[in-house]
Amino acid sequence: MIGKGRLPLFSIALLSASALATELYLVRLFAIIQWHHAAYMVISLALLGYGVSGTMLALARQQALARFGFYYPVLILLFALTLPLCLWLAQRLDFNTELLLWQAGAWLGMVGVYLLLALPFLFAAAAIGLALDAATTRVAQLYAADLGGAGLGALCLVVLLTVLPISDIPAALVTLSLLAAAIALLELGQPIRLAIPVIAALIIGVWLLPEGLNRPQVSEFKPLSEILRIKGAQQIDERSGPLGLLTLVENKEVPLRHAPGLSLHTPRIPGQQMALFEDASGMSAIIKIEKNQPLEWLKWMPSALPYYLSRPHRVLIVGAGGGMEALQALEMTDAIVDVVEPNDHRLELLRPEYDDPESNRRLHYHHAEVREFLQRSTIAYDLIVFGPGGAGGGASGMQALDTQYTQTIEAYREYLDHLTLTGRVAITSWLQLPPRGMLKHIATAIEVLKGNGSIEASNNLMVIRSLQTATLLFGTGSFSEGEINALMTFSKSRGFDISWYPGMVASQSNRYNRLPQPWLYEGVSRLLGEQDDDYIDAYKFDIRPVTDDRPYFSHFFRWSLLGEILSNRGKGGMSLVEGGYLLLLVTLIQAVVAGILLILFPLGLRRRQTGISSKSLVSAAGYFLCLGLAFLLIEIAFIERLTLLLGHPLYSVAVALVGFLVFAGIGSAFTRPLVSYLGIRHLLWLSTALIITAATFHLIAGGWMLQTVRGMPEEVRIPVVLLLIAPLALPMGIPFPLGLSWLAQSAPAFTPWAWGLNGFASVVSAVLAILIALHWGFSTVIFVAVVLYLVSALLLPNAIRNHQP
Amino acid sequence: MYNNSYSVSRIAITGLWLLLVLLVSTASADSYARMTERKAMVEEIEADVRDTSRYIGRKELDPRVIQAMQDVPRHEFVSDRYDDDAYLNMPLPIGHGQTISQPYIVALMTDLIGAQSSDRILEIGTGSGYQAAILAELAAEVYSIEIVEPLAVLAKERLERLHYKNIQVRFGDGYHGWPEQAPFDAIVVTAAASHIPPPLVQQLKPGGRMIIPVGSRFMVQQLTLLEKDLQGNVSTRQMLPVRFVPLTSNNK
Repeated sequence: MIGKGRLPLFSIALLSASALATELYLVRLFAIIQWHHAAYMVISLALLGYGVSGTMLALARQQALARFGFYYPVLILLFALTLPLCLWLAQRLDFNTELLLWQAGAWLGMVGVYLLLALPFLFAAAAIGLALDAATTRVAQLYAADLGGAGLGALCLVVLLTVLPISDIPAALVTLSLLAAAIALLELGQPIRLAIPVIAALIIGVWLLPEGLNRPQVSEFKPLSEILRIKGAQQIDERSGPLGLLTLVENKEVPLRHAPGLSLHTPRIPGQQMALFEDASGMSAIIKIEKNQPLEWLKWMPSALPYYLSRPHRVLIVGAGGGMEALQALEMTDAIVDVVEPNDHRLELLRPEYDDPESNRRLHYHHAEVREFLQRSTIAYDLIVFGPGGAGGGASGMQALDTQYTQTIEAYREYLDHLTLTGRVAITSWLQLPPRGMLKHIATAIEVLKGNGSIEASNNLMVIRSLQTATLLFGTGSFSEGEINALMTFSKSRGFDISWYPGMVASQSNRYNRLPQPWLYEGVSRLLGEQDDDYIDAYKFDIRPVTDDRPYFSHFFRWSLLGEILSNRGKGGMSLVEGGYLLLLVTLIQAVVAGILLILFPLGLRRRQTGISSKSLVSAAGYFLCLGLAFLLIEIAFIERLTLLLGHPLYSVAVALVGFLVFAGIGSAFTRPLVSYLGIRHLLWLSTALIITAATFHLIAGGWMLQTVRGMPEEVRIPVVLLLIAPLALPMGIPFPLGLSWLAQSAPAFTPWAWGLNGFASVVSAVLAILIALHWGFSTVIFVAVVLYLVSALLLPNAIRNHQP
Repeated sequence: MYNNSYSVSRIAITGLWLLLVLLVSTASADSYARMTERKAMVEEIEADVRDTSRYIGRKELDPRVIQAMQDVPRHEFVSDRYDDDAYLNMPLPIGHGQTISQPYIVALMTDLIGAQSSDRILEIGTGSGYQAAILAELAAEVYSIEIVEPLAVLAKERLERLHYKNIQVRFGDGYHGWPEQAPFDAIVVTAAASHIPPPLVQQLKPGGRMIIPVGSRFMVQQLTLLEKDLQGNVSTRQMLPVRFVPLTSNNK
């Protein structure tokens, strides 16, 4: 017990900072070495370490509390030491998420990764849980330090990713944890003569480890690994930053030739290219401009269509990619070309390739996210271009969980608002069969055009299709006779199929590259008709247009496909049908099962030892479960919503986490004086009422607030966002320490269980939030959280009432 | 003494015979077991073809293709680690991030190019050499190019060991085809590309066929058949490897 001794506030803040930064680092790491969804799976189970720590503490509570001064720093030290070791080992296990879908044996590797990554978190969480238990009635202060520290940890990781290469991050995280251990020793008045030099030596040691040891071990199945295996391939540059790891590869022996959808009739083949990878996949090609390498082939790409229809004067390219779209615009027009790209490292790598006087005069790079850029811009464009990299809806179904605010109904409206009278939006994307992504682009465009009463949507659309890609053109002005003739000539000479133009008849579709069915033509005709909703509802995949509240453009899964998936299980068929979504479900199921086995089941078995009467056990357990679920639901909903405002998921993660955790920490710090003034029940009701009021305000006025804040200058936006978060986050910090302080007085042996239940709920909540948002949007996520807070406010008084010491 | 050594040598000779019989019978039991596995795999392929006939335009494959699938020992083309899975109707890793294709896809691709016994066929992406071996059972000459050098070396050795004399394997960039041996009656591309390389179209004989999968290895989504008519006009047809998506739902 800490008794009246000094609370280990600084060490717990530092430990929480380090643990949260590690979680976020794992998200980045697994996005690089595996795929984005693998990060969700790994993180959710690694976080289960938090839940299990409660069980562990409950089992050894008396002993651990009796020697708190020893166990607390040792647990922190174990976190620091197992972290690099487990990271190293986890990356060397045979684990591939693609194989998970069709090979039962692959799950063994996955389980190994889970266990390894759960271990350091188990120690970190055990240290925090033990300290909360030991703090007894002063628990709120310690919890405040825990929350505040975690918030700063999020910020810390963004800074670390900005200033350090990705391979140095583990060393920085270990340093933070070791410092936490050293501070813990100081705070608890433990003998430090031997410990401090050892910790100092460990810190120095971790920075002296060979660089290769911590390099991300990219899966052999990722495109970067594939291309590096080809003879002559050389990695010539690498840029690591919070927005991703960029790798530039050149091969002079076997040059890359990437030209999605290139016509079979092209008179010239593409020249040398370099491959630019983002997180070891997401390849785009940088075209090398050399005198003997004519760029004629660019005119034989489907994306060249808009330049054949008219001569744009001002072109906006969304997403720099490898520069092909910009180069195409420069080659085929005299226009001024603006390129918006959120990742400045990408711009740094591209600039030197196109550094000539002509390009410098006409090509302007803007470091921004497109909607943020347009919000500030007053320019009217003749053409807004999305290449396959920026359009989304990739072929593998593995981006199902990515939010894409550039492809929502609201986004399309903004694009139309920034066009000239005859301006067009041109979207080229990969074509899957049966089509999904392109049909969703088309459905979105048609919905937006239909929404504009003065427009006859069918006259404002054009769609062509090559072997692997499709290009959609739309705008507020209808296509002229001249433009339609130009389309005919362009498509015929290149062997591209026309899927829609004003006045098209069915017999004109599906001529050159014959599909089993003219899906796109049928899709456009049906979507333009009155029964468009029926068509969308009956379609095999989810092609319903997405909104800013539900921006999962690449989510195409439908439950009606489940029968097919199951009948093709183990034969490679599952991945076609939205692997990302299914893996999310699997993650949720495994988290629930593991949580029941490792937390709820032991709790049930040892309920007599919890020191809480059976009558109030269920209410108390429910209270901490509801709080764990609700807190993270709100946090995740805000992280995702703020992405639109702040331009990139990582910034929104940092700002939302800092905001919620630091303000909740402040709320928590005020819990103790408020309890003595108001009493537990009144404070609980007050905080719940405040949470519900603030959340409802966000639900009702969220859209308006987003619009207003987006118009503000960049430097003002983050403080304003934090101010908007504060009224919600401050009361959110109160219920958990409030429950703990009741336990400290009435049933202290239940404290570790409360900690474990809260941890378990967070694991489930992280996945549940995405699942709810995919189907019903972020507003529903916030609504569910509000209901959970309300339920929790009913449960604690019930637990208190039924508790008989 | 004599009798003793006589009986010892008799026992030794009998023992050796027994050992030999044991080895031979084990080997034949093994090859019989493999043959049974291959038969089961072929039956599965035939069932798949029937299930997907609506999309691939045929209810059964050419009996010669079926025979080739029955004859080629797929287990020789996978690593020991996957030996037990060799005859499962699924793709398997072969190292270097590459896979040996799903047998149904191999059979279908072979069938779609309609290989004749006098044909000269170009394959891009040798991989393990399995597809080349199947083609070699049906055609006169097979030329195969592999871009990953260790795989090319391994496949070459393997095919030589299995006595495939009508296959030539070369390490190199398949984008440019094999102009020295062009034109070809058929071209089989086993690696997904961002576009069909124009040099390959040029190296295809009038009346020839080229087959290309579109999509990633683990989720092959569509096979594309390119046909060059006698006048040299080119058209393509995309079909689904409906193994994955039978498209059985209403109105699609």
